[in-house]
Parts: sequence; structure tokens; C-alpha cells
Amino acid sequence: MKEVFKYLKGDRNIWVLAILLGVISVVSVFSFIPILVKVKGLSYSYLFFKHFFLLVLGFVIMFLVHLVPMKVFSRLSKIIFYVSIILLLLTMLIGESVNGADRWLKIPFVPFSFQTSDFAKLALIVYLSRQLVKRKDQFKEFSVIARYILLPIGITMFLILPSNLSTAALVGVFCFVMLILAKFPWKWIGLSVGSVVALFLLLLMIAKVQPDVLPRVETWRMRLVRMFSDESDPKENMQATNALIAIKNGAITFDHPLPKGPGNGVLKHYIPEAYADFYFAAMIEEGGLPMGIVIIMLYMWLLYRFIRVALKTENEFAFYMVMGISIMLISQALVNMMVSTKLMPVTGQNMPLLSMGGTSAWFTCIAFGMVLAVSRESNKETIETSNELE
Amino acid sequence: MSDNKKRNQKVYLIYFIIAIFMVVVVFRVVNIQYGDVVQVNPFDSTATDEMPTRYDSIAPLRGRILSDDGSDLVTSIPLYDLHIDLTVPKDKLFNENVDSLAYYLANTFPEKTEAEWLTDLKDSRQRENQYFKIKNKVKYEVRNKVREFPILRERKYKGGFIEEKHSKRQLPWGLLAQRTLGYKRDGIRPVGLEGGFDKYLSGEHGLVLKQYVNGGWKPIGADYVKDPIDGADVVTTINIDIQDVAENELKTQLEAQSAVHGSVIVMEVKTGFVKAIANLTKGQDGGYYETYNHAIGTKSDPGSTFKLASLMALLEDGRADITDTVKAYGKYTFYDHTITDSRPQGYGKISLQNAFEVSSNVFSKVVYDAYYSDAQKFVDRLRTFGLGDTLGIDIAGEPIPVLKNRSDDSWSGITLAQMAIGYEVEITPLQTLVLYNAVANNGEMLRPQFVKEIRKNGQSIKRFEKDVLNEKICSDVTLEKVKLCLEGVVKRGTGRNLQSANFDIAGKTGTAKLVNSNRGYGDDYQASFAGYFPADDPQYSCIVVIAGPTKQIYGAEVSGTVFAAIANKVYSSSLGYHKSINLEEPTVADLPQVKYGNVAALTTALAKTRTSYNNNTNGSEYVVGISSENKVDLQPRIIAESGVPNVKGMAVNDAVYILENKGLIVRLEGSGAVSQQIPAAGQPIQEGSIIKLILN
Repeated sequence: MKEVFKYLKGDRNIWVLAILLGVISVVSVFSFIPILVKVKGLSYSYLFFKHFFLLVLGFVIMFLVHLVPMKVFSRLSKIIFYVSIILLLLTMLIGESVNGADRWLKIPFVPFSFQTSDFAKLALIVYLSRQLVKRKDQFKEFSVIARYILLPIGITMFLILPSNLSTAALVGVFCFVMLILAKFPWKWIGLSVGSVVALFLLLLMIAKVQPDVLPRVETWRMRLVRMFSDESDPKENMQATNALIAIKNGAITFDHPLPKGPGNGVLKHYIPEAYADFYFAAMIEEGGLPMGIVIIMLYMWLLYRFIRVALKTENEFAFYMVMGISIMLISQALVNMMVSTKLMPVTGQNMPLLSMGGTSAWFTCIAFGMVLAVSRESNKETIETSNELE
Repeated sequence: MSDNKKRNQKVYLIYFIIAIFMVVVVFRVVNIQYGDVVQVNPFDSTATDEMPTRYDSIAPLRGRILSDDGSDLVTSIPLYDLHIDLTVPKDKLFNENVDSLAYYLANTFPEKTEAEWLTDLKDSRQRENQYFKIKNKVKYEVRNKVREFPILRERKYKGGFIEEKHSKRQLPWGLLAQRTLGYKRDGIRPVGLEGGFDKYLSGEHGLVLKQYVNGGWKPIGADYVKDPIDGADVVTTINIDIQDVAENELKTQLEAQSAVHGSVIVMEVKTGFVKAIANLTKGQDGGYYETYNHAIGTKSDPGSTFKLASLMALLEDGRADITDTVKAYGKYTFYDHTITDSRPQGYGKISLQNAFEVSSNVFSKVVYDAYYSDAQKFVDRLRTFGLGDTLGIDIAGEPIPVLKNRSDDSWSGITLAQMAIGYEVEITPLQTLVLYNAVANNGEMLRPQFVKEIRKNGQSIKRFEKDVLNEKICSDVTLEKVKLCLEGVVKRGTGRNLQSANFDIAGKTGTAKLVNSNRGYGDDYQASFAGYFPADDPQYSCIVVIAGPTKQIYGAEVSGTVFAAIANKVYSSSLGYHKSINLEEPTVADLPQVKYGNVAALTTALAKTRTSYNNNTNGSEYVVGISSENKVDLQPRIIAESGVPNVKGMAVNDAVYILENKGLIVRLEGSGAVSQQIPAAGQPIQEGSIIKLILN
């Protein structure tokens, strides 16, 4: 074990948790394969090896990223951000459609497509962390913060918005948290949040009057309406209701004292996106409440370790970056859980590392790698300082 | 430092807030699992009362009915009902593609215009129609086309495309043997071979488990609980060529005679296999249709064809011989009943054989005198010929023959005399034919069979061999004598007009008055001819029965002509008969006939069949084969460099290959090899022009 950790620098807890989540992910894929075989006509071995391969590659990426010095992220933050904006624009123009939303960009010459918003989220976190450090003395000057902080956030959110409302909202959430941590003036925060909400309401109004102009917006409006009404909707409400039925089905009772076990759930036969957007419901159906609690505990432990890394580092940039990543990942997990339990309108957010999300798992791995890089460097500092003390 | 402390407080506050959310999620899960957020749990297999799962059956494909050479007589073709669940496609998919879907639908199903399809689709989506009808009962090719249309190509789960498969029975040959092939419909007793061999044809239903989910039954899992097993194919004994001749000849005669109905059965002498069975009945409109299987199901007084049985009985019991002289004076009186000959003045003193040949009713007198004291002996003898029994055939509807016993109440003083000439006896044409077939087959009586094999996936699972009812119905001496008499009928007697230059027919005419509604014999006649051919080496037996002819009444004229026409065609087209001619010669027939084709394909084929050949092709790709004494010479087939090549006689794929290489566009008509080409060979080629090939 020690041998292994000689190479795996950074917080060991995070490494262990990441590997644990990876193992759970591979096991749960087994249970999702049958429906994919049925619906998409793919072969068992193809699906299994694809996921396994993606995940292993993800861990390789995680390992490589965690060796990158933090300074590199900080230096490259601007370039990364600009690249992400270009990619988002490309996605809008030539992106592939999944479930009616253009979210994916095909990588040339490789049989993968990836969700550019995954990349943009990380890019924005890195960029914002850098700017919050660089401009911390200029928070009073509106022209500066508007140009270097609020505008980039706004552009990113706006570009993600057409394809995925909930991702754009989550971007808003982690930026909001990062701004608060950076002691950004409350009046600017309030003003920006207020204007975002106002803009969104305006969009909804337009959609209601002229549904053809903004088709996606009309879909969101309907989702919201359905969320708060009993009016039954053919498809999405069916998904949500089936998710609830699945959770109920997974209940441990006197008749069924044991969880059903992987592969024995039936929800996945009724919800095409069970392996991604309704992962939590599918998991509880097969693992019962205990499995749900285990998953929550794993994530909360992970979040705690992330926070420890953030608080330990002396580097302000690293603090913002780790906190941004932490909020991004945990909010994704939370949304998945809340959608699965119908606490929220239906939307597609992956369970970080657990869902069969294809290439988006790689970006989660990159995020983990970045946190581990921070942890690795602050460990080194500690060792150095303790050496000095001796 | 206080700055840092404040920051830490903020971070932990965030952690705390997230933890609260997580706790909410856990409570929500507990609430869902044990509370009443969801009312019922339809997945729970323990709640059997309300559990909306059910087994649904999947229909197998019904087997085919084939002719004796394996071509289809009855097949199942799949038909599809096509619908869309309009609630399935997502908004974007629907809105972007509905216009083009309407366009394609209007092109394929012009009963609605593009605009109508568009409005219907949009309205139905508005109304959340989950079962929007595209079209019912479309063929396989159409369904394949439709499922590539926009939206529908996303199939069931994304496009909402619903297809339900049925199969429909189809008779590629139309009327041909329709009644014998039969049918099976819900609520009606199945008829014919469809009914008789239903257990093979029907296959086994598959099972699929379905659950009730959101207003619809959906299959659980990707696999069937049990896969459906398609029905086996039934290979009949029916020969399409013979059947076709029989049906056409019968129809021609029925129309000429404006008769009520008629039947023809052709049976293979040595096996009892029925090669053709035709039944035509005059319809309301005056046309003739296969509406009832008279050959099997209608028993009636056979008339003079029954004299064969009487003669056999007399000979077998030694009560008379064919050389005996009988007084055929034309009038035979029994009590108050007089039986006359068709020739009023009679035939004078003639031999019994002669009397049989001219079908004199002196038979009534002969039999009456011979069995006067022990009439039951005559009946018993007839029964040893199997005449009182049913045949136990595969097709339902065979009646029990009427053959009176001496002790029966209906037995009267004249019954014996009547029976001798085929009255007061009721048997079906098929039962009569079986007796004639037994005579042709040297006394071995065979059960008529309609099916020779059951095949499943091309593999034979059951074979039907000849089924012997009686190994020897009478002595060889008797057989010799009756055969002589049957041949005499055609040579000298009532069947003279059946004579043929190439072969001899043996048989017996019959003309019977039909029982009318008053249970008496009326003015309606039934003309028949039963026999076999060739007389010296019987291959086929055949019976023709025509009821209610209006122009003529005598068996020879009405039915005999049909018999002769069938026999002639069967004889001339049947290779089996020409054996004797070919037998002596060392033969070219052992060599396969090689026509034209690709050299590689031909040499492979010849090598496979172990035929020796000379390859004189000089590298030419297309060759013509010339069969010589024991070799096939392959010569280059000259395909003109300029001008349209000659492809006559070629297989389609070769012809198309050659022509398309020349830049022509090929249109095909018919099936088989090329019989005609337009434009003809040698015409100048215009690239891109169309060449039409007529195939045979």
C-alpha cells in the first residue's frame, strides 16, 4: 500500500474515495447494460469495456493532472477560458444533439464526442480563481469587476444556457459561492443575481407568448409548470414518477429484508436515462436506503476532504479553485439526487464518477486531479516547513 | 488571522448547508419508501391482486402448404399495422421533422395530402394521441420504407413508432385446389388441409411478460419468456401441372354442359397420393367456383361405374364368368320395377364381358339371379372390397357410405338388382376411385393421401409412405378378367371416344339418375368416368364426375372427354412414360444440360457434379456449353464488342452483369432465365439507355 501511495501524492483519502466510487460505478454498469442492449442495440461486452476503458483512462488523466504544478493552472487560466468560450460557441453552431439539446462537440479523428460545458465549467473556475486573487484590491471599481469577473461568468452561463439550463444554473451557484468566499461586495453579488433572475423571467415570458422563438425555453417553462401542478405529462412526469416508484420498490421491508442487488431493478427498463440522470433512483432500487446513505456519506466525506485541502493551502488561488470544484461536484450530485426523488424538475445532471457519462467522467477526473495537485503541493510545503523547523 | 477564521467559518457554513440538503434527500427517500408519496407499487411482485403484469402471446408464423415439387400453394405473408405514439418524440425532434414526415407519408399513402397529414399529426400531438394510425395492413416492403421516415426512424423509444405484425394467408395460385387446401378462420370449423394439418401448420405461440406502465402494456426485459415457434411446412402430393390441367378441363366441360357441379381426382396408382383434386360448383352468377369439396364430401348413387364391383363380386364368388352368355334384351323386370338399357332394343345374346363393355343393365338380372337366395353374400363380398367403409382421409368431411344389408328395413325386393348397377348405394367419387385404383394396383387398396411430407426449416420431420387398406381385395384371376373388361370399355364399348394413339386407357363410364328432393330418382343425371392409364402399366387413376349436365347425359361424352384430355396431357408431359424410349440409348441425359454462363461458375458447377468437360474457352469470360457423347464442350460465347450483347437464355444475374457493364440500364419483367430482350442483340449501344429483359 505504501508503495502505491509513494506515487499517488496528495490526499490519500481522496484517492481512496475516487477509486471506491469508480468500483461502484463499474458494478452498477452491469445492472444498466441490459436496457442499453435492448434500446440501443449495442453488445454487452462493448458497453462494459467502453465504460471500463473510459474510467481507467480517467484515472490515468487524474494521475497526470495531479502532478501538474498549480502555477501552471494559474498562468494558463486566461487561455483556457478563451478556449472554452470558443468551444461553447462551436457547440452552439455545429454541436451534436442529445435528447434534443445541443450539448456535445465531436472531437475530430476520435470516436468520442464531449460535452463542452464540462470543460467550460472547469475553465471558468480556474479563470475566476485567478481573477479573484488578481483583482481583490479593485473590487470597488465597477469597470474592472464587470470586465474581468461578472462578464466572463455571464458569457459562460449565457452560452451554456441554450443547451442545458440546470448546468448554467449550477455554474451560477458555484460562482456565487466563490464570490462570497472572496468577500466580493454584497451589492454587486445581489445586483448580478437579481439581473440574472430578471433576465430568466423575461425569457420565460417571451417563451410563453411566442413559444416558437425559443423552443428550449418553452420546455423549461413547461417543466416548471408541471413540477408545481398535478397535470400529468406523458413523458417527463412518467420518468419522475417511475423514479419514485423505483425508490419505493427498493424499500427494505419485513417481506424483503435484503436489497434487491445489482441488476435486479426494473426502473431502468422504463427510464432511458436511468444510467445517468436517474442514477440515484436506480441505485436505491437495487441497494435500498442503506446504499443511498452510503453514497451520500461517500460524497460528504469527499466534500470534507476537499474542504480540508482548500483550508490547508496557503495559496489563495488554490483555495478558490478547490472550493469552486467542490461546490461544482457536490451540487451536481445533489441535483441528481433531488431529481431522482422529485424534489426538483427533471434535468440531466450526472452523479460525479458514478454515472455512465462517457467522456464527462474524464472532466470529473481532471477536477479531482486538480484538487489532488493542490493537496500535493501543500503537503510538500508542510514537509518542507517541518523540515525547516527541525 | 481573524480573516482566515472568518473564511473557515464561511466554508463550514457551506458544508453545513449542503449537509442539510443531503439530510432532506435521505428523509425524502424514507418518505417515498415508507410513506404514501407514490400510491401503489406496481413493480412489487407480491401485490398480486393489483399487480398489472400479464403474459401476452406472440403469434408464430403459420407454415406453408407446398405442392409436390415444393412450390408454394399457400403461404403466410406478414402484414403490419403502423401507428405512432405522438407523446413520445421530444419537442425538438417533432417540430423539426414533422413537415418532412408529412411529406413522406403523403408520398407513400396518398389518401391524405401532405397538408392533411401535417395537420392531423400536429392536432393529434396536441391531443396527446398515443396511437395515431398511419396505415393498417401494409406489406413488409412498405413497412421497411416507413420505418426509415423522419421521427419514425428513431423507432419505438424515441420516435414512438409502433408496428404490430399479423400474417395473412395467401394462395399464389388463386383458385387452384382452393377447397382442398382449405382455410382456418376464427369461429369456423377449419376446412381442408389447413384444418387437417393444423397441428403442424400452426406452430407454437411465444410468451412475453408485460407490465402496465403509464397507460400501456410494455414488455419486461429484452427477451421473450418463450420464443414463438413457427409452424412447419406441409408438402402436399398435389402436382401443380396436373391440378391445373384437371381444373381447366373440368371447367371447360362444366361450362359447355352448364352443369351443376363437377369433380376430378387424379391419384398416383402405386402410392395412393392424390396428384390433383378439383371441385367446381356453379355459383349464383353462373361462374364456377371451388365452394364445396364434392369429390370427398358428396356421396351419391355411382351408377354404372359400380358395375366393376358387381362384376368383381360375381367373379370372385364364382357365380359367373366373363365368357358367360347373358340375354341382354334391353328390359329387365323385377316385381313391379323395370330396368331398361339405354339402347331400348337391347344387345341380344352377348357375353358378360360384352355386357360390361356396353354397360348393359343386364347386370341387374345377372346379379339378381346369382345371389337371389343369399343376397347378404353379395353385400358381404362388396364389403371385402372396402366399399362399406370410410377411407379415413386427412381432410374432414368424408361421409359414411351407404351399402344396405339384407336385414335393413330399407331393403326391398329390387334392392339387389338396383345395387348391381350402382343404385341404392351411395359412395363418394373418391371412394369409387379407390376401388379402381386398387384394380390398377394389382389388388392392393391404398388410402388416398394428400400430404407426403412435413418439413420444418427445410428439414423433413415426417414422411408419409403409402398406406395400405387391403393388401389384396380379390384374386389375380379376377383382376386379370376385370382389367380386360375395363380395357374393353374403351376399345369396343361405351368409352370408345377415349381412345388415344399413344397409350391405352382402361375405365368405366357411368350415368346415374340423381336422387331428387322426393327421395326418388328424377331427371337429373350424374355422368362419370373412372379408370386408369396407361392400361398396360397403370400410373395414374382418375375419376371425373359431373352432376346435372344439360346437353348430354352419358358418362363417356360428358366425363370421358375430360378424363381423356387430362390423361393425354399428363401422359405427354410426364417424363416417366418415355422411359422405354430412352432406356436403350447410352445417354446424353446423364450429362447436365449446360447453356450459357460465366466460365468460372460453370466449371465449378461441372466439377461439383463430376462431369467431365473440355475447356476450349481461350480465356473468354462467357461461354456456351455443348454436350457431346460423354463430355461437355465449353466454347467461348461471342459477345459482340459493339452492339447490344445477346443474353437470351442466360441466367438473370449473368445477363444483368454483362449489360450493366456495357452501360445499359436493365429492367426486368417476370422471373427465370432471359427469354427475350428489347432492343435485340447487335443493335448499337447507347450508354444509359434502357434494355428490357423478359424472363420466363
